[in-house]
Amino acid sequence: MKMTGEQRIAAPIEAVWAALNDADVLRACIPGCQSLEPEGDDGFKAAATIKVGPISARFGGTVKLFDRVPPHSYRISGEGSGGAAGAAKGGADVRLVADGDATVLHYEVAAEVTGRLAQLGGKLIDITAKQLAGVFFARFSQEVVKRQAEAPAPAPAAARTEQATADRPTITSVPRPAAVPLPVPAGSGGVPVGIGVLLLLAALIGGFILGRTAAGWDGTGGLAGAAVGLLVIVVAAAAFLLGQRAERPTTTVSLDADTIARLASAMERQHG
Amino acid sequence: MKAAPFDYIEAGSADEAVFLLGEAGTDAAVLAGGQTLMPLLALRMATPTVLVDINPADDMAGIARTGEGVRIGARTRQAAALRDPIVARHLPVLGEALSHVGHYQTRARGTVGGSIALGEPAAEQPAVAVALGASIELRSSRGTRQVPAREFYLGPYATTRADDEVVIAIHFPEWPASSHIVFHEVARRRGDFALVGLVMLLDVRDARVERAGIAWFGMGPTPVAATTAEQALTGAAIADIDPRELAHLALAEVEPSEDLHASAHYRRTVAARIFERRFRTLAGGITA
Amino acid sequence: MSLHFIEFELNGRQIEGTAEARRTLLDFLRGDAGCTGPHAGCEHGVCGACTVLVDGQAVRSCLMLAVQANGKKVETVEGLASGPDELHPVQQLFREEFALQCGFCTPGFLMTLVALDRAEPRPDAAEMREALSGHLCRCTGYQGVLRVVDRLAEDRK
Repeated sequence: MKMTGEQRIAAPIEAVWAALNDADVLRACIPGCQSLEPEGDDGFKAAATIKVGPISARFGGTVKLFDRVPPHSYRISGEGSGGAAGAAKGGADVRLVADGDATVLHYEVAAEVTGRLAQLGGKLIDITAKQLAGVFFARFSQEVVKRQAEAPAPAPAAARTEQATADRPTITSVPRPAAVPLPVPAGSGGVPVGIGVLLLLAALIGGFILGRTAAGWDGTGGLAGAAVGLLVIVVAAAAFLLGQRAERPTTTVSLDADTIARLASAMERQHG
Repeated sequence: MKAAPFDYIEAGSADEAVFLLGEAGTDAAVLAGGQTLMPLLALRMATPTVLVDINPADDMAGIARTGEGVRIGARTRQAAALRDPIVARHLPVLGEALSHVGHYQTRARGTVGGSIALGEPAAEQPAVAVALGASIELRSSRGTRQVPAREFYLGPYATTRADDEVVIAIHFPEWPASSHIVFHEVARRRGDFALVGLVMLLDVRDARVERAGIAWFGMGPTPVAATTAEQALTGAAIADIDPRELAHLALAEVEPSEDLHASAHYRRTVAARIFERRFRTLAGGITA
Repeated sequence: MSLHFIEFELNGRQIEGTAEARRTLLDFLRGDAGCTGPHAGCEHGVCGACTVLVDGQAVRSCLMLAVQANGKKVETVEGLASGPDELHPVQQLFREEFALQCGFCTPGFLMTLVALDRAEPRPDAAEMREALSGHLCRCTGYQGVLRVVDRLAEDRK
């Protein structure tokens, strides 16, 4: 499974980068996120509970960052466990591109699934991933814009922002060296954490939903399907890997404003 | 295979259910027939802290005619709806759909409102509600609202119902008793969820379509209304309609899911075939 | 976790007990009431081996909480035969038609057929067959059961 997408955020690239690296922001934006703690110099530990209708899945995982080129790109890989629901591995590439006063965030998530889950394939995983990503970005955009408006940044940060603004025309062609000082708090997660966690959750929940139709639940008393889903996850979800086998079909998930708003309001209600 | 601990409270009426759910917070769940929730609890895929049991709420059960159509209380058992004379006379397509829901033993407990509230994309009852243009009555301590079924479903098990809202009833609008109905479900075994499902109602006068209601189930993340085909049909003379072209239009809104049970291509192909065949038969009966 | 005092009629006898909210009727019948006739097969509503009658309706006892049986009338396979030497007519037909092999699923089949046998208007053979789709038999001994269905339907004419 592959998922690519982009999200335009009405804030300068430096502000977006800073927000991506702020555990508080991420905690507030990841649907159902219960905790998000820095782990080591280049990683995060996260726990989240996702509710889809009556189904809820608790998930804990760790995410490592590498190839960081502030404020332009990251790569991440992550793995996690959903307890009885199984375990999963995944990864993502994230790029930020300045676009006038705004920033366009491109993401590409690759998930290599083996075993029976690979046979299941599935749009429903995509749908769940899309829902979760939609909620994340809706909240994230809101949060970044709000912070921009609220916080008159302290002098050094402001200086950096000005610098970034001044440099903008050249940013896209000349990547900054990673050594440029940036307002990065301890640990540096960012969207990678968000998307990593989202992806893994999506896979777990998608597995439930896919499994279901084997016999069905809706008053049919047929939950064999769910059991299959669970088994499948336990057996096969262990094999998400970043960027493998490019010949796999790519699903492009484009999130228009309407969809995001609709999904976000639905999920907000579910997650309170 | 044993549920995690939870608290259990009985709601003796709709008002009690609304009050209790409002008090219980976001980790509460409504227990209706339990034919989905109980397995989810047993598998620990659902872990609510409180169950609000609406089975004792007798005021939530019952089927009645209203000025606008038929009102079905959310806690009405599927078995009761299946043998109800009002359903047989005024909602025959629901009766046919119910005979495909689960099994004899699960219909004895399973409720109409439970299935509507769950929003399983391959289930029969939500698709009937969407096809007929039903609306769903939701109540919370904040008030009562009616949501059209066509706006209620957002994704698999995701609906516009808020955590503190109770589904009180489903309101089915009046369709003339002479309406032509099609209910077609393709599943491996009776009682399974649909791989492809179609609900269609046509109100035909003088061989001309007055009104059409069409929905698919098992064909995407929610039941899907075939609005393009509905619009094309409205006002059209039956004899002028090309069934194949119409089947093509009927799939305009559909983006079938792909899983272990069937590929998207299979679902699309089968859907087009059953639509065309059933429409041809129906049209033949009218123009003959 | 709440604890509930419950009281209901089981096979004509009044019984009472205490059950945790999450305890299923199936577990209560087997573990507390000593009725091991309803079998715990899949425990999530697929197999039908736990089917019992609650107020005359055939339901899956694994999909009902014990506390929900409070004040109800519950019948299990233990309550069918009128005496040690006298089988219920449906049980007798099962015996005559060899409608069981290992017997694990049998109590469920029996309870559904008993409910159908009492139903008014009386269902025909096709309706009974449809109702039996809610039961799984791993011995694949359905042919015998279907002979029972045919004879039941015949008896009714």
